[in-house]
Amino acid sequence: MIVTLFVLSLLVFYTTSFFSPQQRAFLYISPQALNHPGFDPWSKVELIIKKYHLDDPFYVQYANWVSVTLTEGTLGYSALYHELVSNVILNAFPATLELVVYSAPLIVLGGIKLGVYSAVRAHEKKRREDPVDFIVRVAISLTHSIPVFLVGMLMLSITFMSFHWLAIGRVGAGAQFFITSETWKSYTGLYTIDALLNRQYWIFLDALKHLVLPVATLTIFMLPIVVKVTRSSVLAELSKPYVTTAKAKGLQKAEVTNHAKRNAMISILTVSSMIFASMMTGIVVTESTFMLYGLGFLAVEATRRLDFTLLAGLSIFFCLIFVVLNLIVDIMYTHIDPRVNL
Amino acid sequence: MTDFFNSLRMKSNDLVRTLKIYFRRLRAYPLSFVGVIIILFFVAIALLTPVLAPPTSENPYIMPYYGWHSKTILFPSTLPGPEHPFGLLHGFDLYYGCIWGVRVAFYISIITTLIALSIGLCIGSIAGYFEGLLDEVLMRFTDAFFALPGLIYVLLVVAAMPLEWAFNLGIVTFKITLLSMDRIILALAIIGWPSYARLIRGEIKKVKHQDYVEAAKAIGCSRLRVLIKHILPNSISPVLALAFLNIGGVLLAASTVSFLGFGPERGFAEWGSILATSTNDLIFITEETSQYVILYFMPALFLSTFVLGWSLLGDALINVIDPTLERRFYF
Repeated sequence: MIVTLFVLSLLVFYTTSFFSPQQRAFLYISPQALNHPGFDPWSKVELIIKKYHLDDPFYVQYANWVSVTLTEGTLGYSALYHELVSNVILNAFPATLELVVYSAPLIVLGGIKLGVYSAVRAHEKKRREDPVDFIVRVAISLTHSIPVFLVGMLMLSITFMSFHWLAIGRVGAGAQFFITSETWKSYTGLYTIDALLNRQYWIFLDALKHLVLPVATLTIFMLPIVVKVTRSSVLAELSKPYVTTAKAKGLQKAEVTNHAKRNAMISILTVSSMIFASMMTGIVVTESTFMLYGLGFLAVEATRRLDFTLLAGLSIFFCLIFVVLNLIVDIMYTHIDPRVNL
Repeated sequence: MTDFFNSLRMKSNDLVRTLKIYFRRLRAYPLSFVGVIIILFFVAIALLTPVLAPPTSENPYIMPYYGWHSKTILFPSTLPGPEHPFGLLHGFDLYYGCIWGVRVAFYISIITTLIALSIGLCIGSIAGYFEGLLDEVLMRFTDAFFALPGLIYVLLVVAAMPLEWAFNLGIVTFKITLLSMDRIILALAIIGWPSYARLIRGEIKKVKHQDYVEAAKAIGCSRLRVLIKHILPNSISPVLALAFLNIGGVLLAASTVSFLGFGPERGFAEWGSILATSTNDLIFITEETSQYVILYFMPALFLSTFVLGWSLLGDALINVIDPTLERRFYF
């Protein structure tokens, strides 16, 4: 686990070492100073490079960063946002968390239900095609071949631009004004839960209305993955001998399906954890299209503006999410299948 | 001599028999033939590109521009007409872009998958064959790459990689100039190889304890020979199925990278960057400009159909070989 953390951050550092020290020095010069007439940035670049050790080899900079992180406990100071890196990440995290919390149950539970249904119907008709199964398979192939940004743009242009129903951002203008005022107590950072806790139900409905499109876009892309894996593993389970025994014993079809589903849960759990991890570490396109400023958007901005402290901190955060998720999934493995030792 | 030809015939019989088995199983998935037809259609377009869209400048991958040359104001788009079959997208001939984009698409997807396959197969087969500490270390290394947030790391690599590389070997200096597409290819290959490594390692572990491997070792085959001639051909099928499926996913990821602005410059005939150029038209859409949506749909249609063809083929192959595979998703 710690090895993964080290290797990951080393990878990110190695990639950023491809930028020349002069490019990296320009980050520390603010835009106001650059636009000021008569200011020659190149005179200060040498000073900046010496002060921040930008021309050391990358392993020296990496060792420096690791020692600072371990001794001081903070992830550093982001030059782009002029705040601590941990503050920046924690400010942007609730947007992603809200999206994930509202779409993960839909994707996982809905996907399992649909996959099991499709597999059962495919198993009943042995030689011939089942229409529902065929439609599900075709839908899976189709959604895998359409780019994410296309669907996002389409939905946005149809609903927002043409019909003015749903909108971008996390909340509308009135709710945004209320949230940034003083009467709003932010408990979790998620606008929906905070609105319920602050008893402003109109904000709750507004935030939900703004969440419909992003959640729908994410579901369109992630649900078929779960359906596909569920369908294939349940189908493989249904051809095993114990299913024949159960049917011969006279069990109801629902009970037999339940047994098969439980045995197929391992691959479904693996895939769900991968989907959850990729959603947490930021779906960049959905967040950029619908203007939810979450982790993915933050990472792209850090890449664009070459803010390496933020990038290193973000990569550590992502790795932590990944490791925690793996741990939870491993524990759930032992829960589901008692034959697995941890 | 006859021995040589006999052994050739026996080997090709084996290969032909395996292919026949897969083909027979593939007949249960009629959608795969649709996929093959789509791919062949695109191959035909790629071969006939200079005929369908004659190049007008030195670099044929730059779309011809029929507009004014201003840095700030975009030339307005035009609808499809008799001269320009798909219309002009801010001055660039869209038909030309879509047709030459087929070659770019094949280039990106196939080369990325080949590079990722080679790296993944090397590392995975070493880890699977030599178990123990080497296996553990290599798998931890692979897990670290697997934990990378895919798209974000690709953006970082694309931003960081310089376009000109120079290698010094004593007297001789090699200079390599990469296209902006090549950076995307290398970045996606760096992200993509862990799936293949994990997969081939699992398959090799299943195959290693079979009798024929033990027999090969007993007659004195070197370890490399056992690996390449006996173990790999029996464990490579799921990897190939996954590779076919990933060809489509890789192209979608490359288009997403171009869409976010990290791809080729404006005017390059790549579907992702064409879509990036025309996104503004789609967002700020009004009654009058709603007809220009067709310009957005043309490259999107090409992209979707291309990926659909490879996906159908890959899905069918995976269903034929092993339906419960675990793979990486390019989001």
